[in-house]
Amino acid sequence: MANEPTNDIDFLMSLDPLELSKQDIDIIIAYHRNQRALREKGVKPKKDKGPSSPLDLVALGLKPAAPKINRRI
Amino acid sequence: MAEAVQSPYLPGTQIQFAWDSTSLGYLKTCPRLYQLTMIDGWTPKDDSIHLKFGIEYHKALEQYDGFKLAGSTHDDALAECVRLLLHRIRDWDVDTSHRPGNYKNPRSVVQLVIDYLDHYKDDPATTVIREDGTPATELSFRFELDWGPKGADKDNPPPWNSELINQPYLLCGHLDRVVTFNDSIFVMDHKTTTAAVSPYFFDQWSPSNQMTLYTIAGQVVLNAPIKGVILDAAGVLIEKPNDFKRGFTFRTPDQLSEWLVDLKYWLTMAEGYATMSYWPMNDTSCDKFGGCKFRGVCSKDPAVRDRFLEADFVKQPPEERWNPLKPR
Repeated sequence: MANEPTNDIDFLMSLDPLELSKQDIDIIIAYHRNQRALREKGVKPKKDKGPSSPLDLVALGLKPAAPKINRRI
Repeated sequence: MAEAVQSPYLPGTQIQFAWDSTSLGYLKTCPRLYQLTMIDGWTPKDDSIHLKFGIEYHKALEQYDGFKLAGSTHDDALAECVRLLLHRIRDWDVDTSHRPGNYKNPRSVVQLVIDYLDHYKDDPATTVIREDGTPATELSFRFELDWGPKGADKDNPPPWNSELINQPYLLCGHLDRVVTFNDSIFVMDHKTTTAAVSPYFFDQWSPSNQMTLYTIAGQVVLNAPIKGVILDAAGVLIEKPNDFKRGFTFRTPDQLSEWLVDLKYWLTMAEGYATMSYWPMNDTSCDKFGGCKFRGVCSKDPAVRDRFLEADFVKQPPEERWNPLKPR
């Protein structure tokens, strides 16, 4: 039985690719480019051992950061 | 429904008349390896991983070339070929706990395609455009030699050859890409390896049955003065970034002629083995290329080999076996 998706990229890659938007595909490509950049810096990839931290779309420049919430006191 | 593919053997015999570099390579390496793979159809249980990985990698690069030729930008062509790749590998389930699956799996093929296409975004080698306007990628070839098996000789007809009298030998295969580089034309062949690409990697392709055949095929199919093959190597790595390097292997006209003369001897031997229905073991090849896949079988007593074959290999039905006439 296939494992449940553990993060954003797993989720995106588990969807029907023909239904993905251009932005979704760009996210997948950006993720893999980021993986390459990490390896070029000597960072070893982590082995898949269950749930991992979600993909940081903001760091990849693919999602605008949420506006800061101004709390009213 | 899939169309039936013609058998590469003369009807009712084990005499192969259609050859590609793979089947010829088996024969040259060891007639027993040829028998177990081509005639009997045994394939390792994990062989499909390498095959699937190679097919998807090649297909993605071919599609990218097509999108670029149609006028897409690099990013758009890459996005579209990644989308199609994801679609094709959606149900590809790989056991990543073993070495083959650890290196070759859906994630790693997507990573490799993206890395390769980014690496060669401004590729100095440009795809040759054929007369019909299509790019010379995944180019299937099939051409006749001016001689054939004795079993198809009309002057000495054995009883089985009524359908294929005078069937000449055919040489078949697929060229990944034909390119212009520094004003010369080369066949380009994509290779993947699960190690970093060292200079030693390129040494293994000269002499090389496959690369000599591809040079001849390129010259025949494109009627162009092809000088040799560019080996487009991709090292599929886990802890380091994927490694891309290219090397050249050249062939002179005399080298090509020599290969064709040798081929006559090889195919005569192949016909002899098939006629006698016996393919001897070449026990000096067992340790080559990291060890033959059948070494664990051939090292056993002949009486128990079938049991070892059945444990680690799958016997493919005839229609699924390697067939040089099967289109890609």
